[in-house]
Amino acid sequence: MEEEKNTQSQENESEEIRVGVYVCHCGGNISDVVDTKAVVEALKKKPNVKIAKDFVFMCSDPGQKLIIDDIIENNINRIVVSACSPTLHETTFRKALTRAGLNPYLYEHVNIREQDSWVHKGENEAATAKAIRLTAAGVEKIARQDPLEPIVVNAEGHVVVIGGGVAGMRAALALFKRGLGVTLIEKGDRLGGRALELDKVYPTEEKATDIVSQLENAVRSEKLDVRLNCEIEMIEGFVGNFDVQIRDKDSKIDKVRAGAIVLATGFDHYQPYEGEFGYGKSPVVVTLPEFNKLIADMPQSDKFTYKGKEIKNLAFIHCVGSRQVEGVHQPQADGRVNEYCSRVCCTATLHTINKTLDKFPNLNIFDLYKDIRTYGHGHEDYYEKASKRGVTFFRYTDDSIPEYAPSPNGSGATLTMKDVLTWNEEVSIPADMIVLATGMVPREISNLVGMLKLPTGTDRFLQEVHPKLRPVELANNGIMIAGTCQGPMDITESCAAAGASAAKVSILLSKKTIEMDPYVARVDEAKCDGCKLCLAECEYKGALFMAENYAHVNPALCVGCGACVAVCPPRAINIAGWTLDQFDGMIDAISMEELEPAMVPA
Amino acid sequence: MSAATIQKKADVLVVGAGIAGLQASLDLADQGKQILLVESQPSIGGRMINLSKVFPTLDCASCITTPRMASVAHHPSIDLLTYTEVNKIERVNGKFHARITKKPRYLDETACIGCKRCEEACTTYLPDEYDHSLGAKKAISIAFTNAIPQYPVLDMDECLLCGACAKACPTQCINFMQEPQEIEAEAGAVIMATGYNLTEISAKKQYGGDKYPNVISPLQMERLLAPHGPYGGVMRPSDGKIPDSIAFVQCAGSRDKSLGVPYCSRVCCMYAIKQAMLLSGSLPIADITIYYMDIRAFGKGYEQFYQNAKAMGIQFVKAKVGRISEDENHNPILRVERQEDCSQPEDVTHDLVMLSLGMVPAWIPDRDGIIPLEIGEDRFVRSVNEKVTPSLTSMEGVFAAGTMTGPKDIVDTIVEAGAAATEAANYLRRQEGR
Amino acid sequence: MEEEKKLSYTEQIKELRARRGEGSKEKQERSKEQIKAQKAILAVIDKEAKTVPEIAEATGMNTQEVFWWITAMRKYNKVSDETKKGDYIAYRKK
Ligand SMILES: Cc1cc2nc3c(=O)[nH]c(=O)nc-3n(C[C@H](O)[C@H](O)[C@H](O)COP(=O)(O)OP(=O)(O)OC[C@H]3O[C@@H](n4cnc5c(N)ncnc54)[C@H](O)[C@@H]3O)c2cc1C
Ligand SMILES: Cc1cc2nc3c(=O)[nH]c(=O)nc-3n(C[C@H](O)[C@H](O)[C@H](O)COP(=O)(O)OP(=O)(O)OC[C@H]3O[C@@H](n4cnc5c(N)ncnc54)[C@H](O)[C@@H]3O)c2cc1C
Ligand code: SF4
Ligand code: SF4
Ligand code: SF4
Ligand code: SF4
Ligand code: SF4
Repeated sequence: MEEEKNTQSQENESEEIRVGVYVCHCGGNISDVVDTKAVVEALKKKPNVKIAKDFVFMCSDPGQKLIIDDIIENNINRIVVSACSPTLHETTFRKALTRAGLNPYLYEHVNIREQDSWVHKGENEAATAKAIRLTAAGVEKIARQDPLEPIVVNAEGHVVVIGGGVAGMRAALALFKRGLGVTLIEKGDRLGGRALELDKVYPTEEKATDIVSQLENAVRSEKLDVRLNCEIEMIEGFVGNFDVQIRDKDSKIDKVRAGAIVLATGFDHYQPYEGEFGYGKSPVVVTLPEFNKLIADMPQSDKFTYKGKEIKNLAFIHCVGSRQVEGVHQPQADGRVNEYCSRVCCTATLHTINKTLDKFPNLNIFDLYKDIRTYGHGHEDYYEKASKRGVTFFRYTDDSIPEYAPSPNGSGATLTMKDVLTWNEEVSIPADMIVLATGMVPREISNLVGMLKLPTGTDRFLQEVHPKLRPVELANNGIMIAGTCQGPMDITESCAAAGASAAKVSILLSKKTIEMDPYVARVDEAKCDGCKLCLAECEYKGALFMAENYAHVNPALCVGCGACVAVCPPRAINIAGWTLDQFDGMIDAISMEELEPAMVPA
Repeated sequence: MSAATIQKKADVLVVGAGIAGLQASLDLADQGKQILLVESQPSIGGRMINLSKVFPTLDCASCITTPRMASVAHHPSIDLLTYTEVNKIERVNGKFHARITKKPRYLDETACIGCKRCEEACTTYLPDEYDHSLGAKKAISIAFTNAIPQYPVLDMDECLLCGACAKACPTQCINFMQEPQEIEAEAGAVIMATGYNLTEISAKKQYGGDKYPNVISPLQMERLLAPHGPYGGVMRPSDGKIPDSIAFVQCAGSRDKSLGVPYCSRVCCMYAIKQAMLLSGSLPIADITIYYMDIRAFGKGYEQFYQNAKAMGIQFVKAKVGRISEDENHNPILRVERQEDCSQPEDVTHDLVMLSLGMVPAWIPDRDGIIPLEIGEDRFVRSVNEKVTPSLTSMEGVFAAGTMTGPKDIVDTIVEAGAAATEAANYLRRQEGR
Repeated sequence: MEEEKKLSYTEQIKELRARRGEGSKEKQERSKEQIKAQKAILAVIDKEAKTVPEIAEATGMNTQEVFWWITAMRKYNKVSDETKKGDYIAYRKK
């Protein structure tokens, strides 16, 4: 990706350590609390520090240029930037080092924002002192750093996509068209997932089955490797080289090697507990997906009959199983409530209401909601149309959740609530039938989560690396996500996510090899006495093993967790970039005694 | 008399360098494609670099945008043109031909070192569009501190022609006689990522957004809250008072047929909540009220964000704001019709009011030319396969990403940009196969 | 472009001013106004920090205009924030 690489030779072992320190104001995020000039002055006095500067935005182009110029013109060969969290900008600055011809691992990023200025507002002096200590520790660490080279592994040009809903098919197709091999694994007996349950879809009014066929036909004609009725038995290996074992319905195991994995395991409908708004107790209380199925094949009529009885008043209740509040709603099996909004159910409900009125124009429809969230393209039209067609809306709050009471004759029910729209008047809504707009929950994939150590959020959906900037990648290198396994989305959004994850996979596998950070265990064979204590600590299969009487590391499998380091009596194991020596130096710097008055100018 | 036309060639031409254009460019360039990225403004970064912090993570916007901007600017496969207009794109024999004009900055970019001496020397002050006129800039100025690239633009229409800048410039790179540079480019595919504008603040007459200084736009509020904002804190434009009572009026430019914007703009509930939270952080004792119809916090983690805001004491009032007037001290007075508790309309006075304006497309093909893509009723560029391939436009080989196809937040924009990159890459591969 | 660059700055400016004609005067008028406004404000906050309403009072300018100039001069290092006075910040000449 960069034009020049590591042109500066690092042969000269005894080369003088020349550290450059750069303190960022981050606009004012840091400098409003930390006296950045004082930090610079204090650091200038430290051994090995040849240059110390502060700047308004180090990450900006002029900021990076400061570093590059100092490397080239002043022979600076170790860089410390004290700024924001390294998750944001460590790579930015590494790339700058590379551009200047310096090994990118001779860089240390010190966090004086999240770990200092943001948490010590109003304690400016103490925050400044802390910034000095943290930065000094960074200097000590980088002074003990040797150049490192990234670990290079082979990249298999094949992708396994797990889940054959719209998202999985969309991702598989995009990847196949990109020239990669694809295996699409679906545990059910057909492709399409939950979309198969839908009739016409908002906002285009296409038939869901047409959308599924469009995708399925493309998948079939491209001769993609599709495995129906199959599940994952085991996944081992690492980015570029996953070994995927697939179990078919006869329990036969097949093995596929993949460079990357896309998870598209989709969602389940929230299942109301027995008695939730009468669900399970009364036959006239159904969920939205159940209702959709029910009316799909009904002919148009001036009467709506269900279970032999005419339904005149039909009520819909929003947010069932979503937007729950602790202390108000019954918690789920794991003790947590579903705080999130399920995103599609408002529009899906209003879409269904219009469809129902198309078929049964004489129905009285009541809509009980908290907020109407018809946010997307064409969504608002369904809301407006429903209002125009005489649907009565009631707005409830968490303080007045509709109360369900079955009618004495057992055939219908009454819903009682305070209606915000009529200034909190208490209303009783007679309903012959009740439809619960149930939300989405993630599908049960605990075996995959456990096997691959996948991150999940408090909402139990798979958790992306960064909710703004890296929405389709997981922290697990080489594993992407697409569609509703990440959180509620409609079909458009699921397909867009699938396209985006295909882009990430294509980037990853666009070259024959993949570079990984070298922060893995290294064994000093001269020091290792072969006690094997470390082996017991390592949780990552194949990462650490014995040969020729001393411990060996497979750098591709080691995750650099450091568990082995902690137990090695002769200190023979170290994590590259995080050696025990470096820790010693950092701790000394952080705990240094003399600091303040002399070092912090007023 | 302009210099000879420059010829350029790329795999993909990307128009617009907001977060959508940046992400699409990176996603393609990282796969080895050659990109020509054209931005009409002096800096890349679009609206996002202009924001304070972003919901729902509350990351500082410039902190998370600059890495993308820097990656694009330094990418060996991305050819970046800023302060440049695309005049026309035509499809000829399966290839795209673009006529492009690089507007004069009135300086030699190859010599300028971004030292800002010219800006310091200049004596002509102008409203700064980056701060939405709240702050000032000079007739020659660099767009903002972390702008990329770091070259100033001289505003010839406003320049006094005093020569102070040229005298101050250490590299003698200023050229008052510079002419536009014509460029012709050929590309295999096109990604349009031209983004959005806000609805006019003057559109809703009864709100007087153009008349009352303390009735401000949401992007102005972003600047007040930004760490490097024009006032160095939250103050109101009429007199620099630190406000005690701030109100947000939701749906002030959307969900309103009379404005021609019947749709929901999708982000304004969330940015209002975000701004309210940031305000209560910097002005802990201020009263903050959000007047709304529905709170649309539908994205991942957004409902939780909304609940946090309520827990922080921000007032959410379900009400319609009928009109706005002001008193002699420029305090805005809102005619509020509450839907909860009481039915009588009442007048409420606040120190500062933000109107949650809606989103409209920045570029509209049948109004602005360039390339004749079909648009929908809402005037955003229409997808021809919305459900399955949202980035597909009505013209083969042209893809769309981000808010130019409809209102959306940053994460949805980034996702769509990735999807558009995938479509463009696959389209190129199909073309090569032919 | 090459030949044009050879024109000295004085020549460039002369040429452009000629092209601009009457417009040049307008710009010069505005420049004078701008300098006047800044001077008036700076004179008031030379010795003592003042808030926007106080400066407006002293100069006879309206508060909005004063605040805009304060903002401009803050950015270009001619004015700095001093103390908080009630609901306002008091500014001082640098
Ligand atoms: C009531 C309702 C109405 C809706 N109406 C609309 C609408 O009108 N318009 C619209 O755009 N959207 C609508 N949606 C949303 C739409 O259903 C979803 O966006 C879409 O189905 C999500 O697709 P997916 O591929 O992410 O997940 P899914 O459809 O759930 O597909 C996941 C697939 O993965 C498979 N799978 C799961 N785990 C494994 C495993 N371990 N191994 C192998 N395979 C596995 C499953 O069998 C399934 O086939 C509606 C949703 C609801 C609830
Ligand atoms: C007040 C406010 C606050 C917000 N806060 C948040 C938030 O906290 N979190 C969040 O997720 N989202 C937020 N958003 C939404 C966010 O701004 C958008 O999602 C995002 O910026 C869209 O990016 P984009 O690239 O699509 O468009 P833009 O940022 O508009 O970029 C488009 C680019 O194209 C350029 N361009 C336009 N026309 C042309 C042309 N003809 N030729 C060349 N270039 C052209 C423009 O100059 C611009 O640089 C907020 C929006 C507003 C209004
Ligand atoms: S989309 Fe509507 S019904 Fe669904 S959880 Fe959100 S607010 Fe409730
Ligand atoms: S660092 Fe962790 S993963 Fe690596 S060898 Fe040691 S224990 Fe195993
Ligand atoms: S010539 Fe124009 S841009 Fe240059 S200093 Fe004078 S007014 Fe400013
Ligand atoms: S003074 Fe010259 S070199 Fe410096 S920023 Fe201005 S134009 Fe560029
Ligand atoms: S997002 Fe909220 S404020 Fe914006 S138009 Fe939609 S409902 Fe109104």
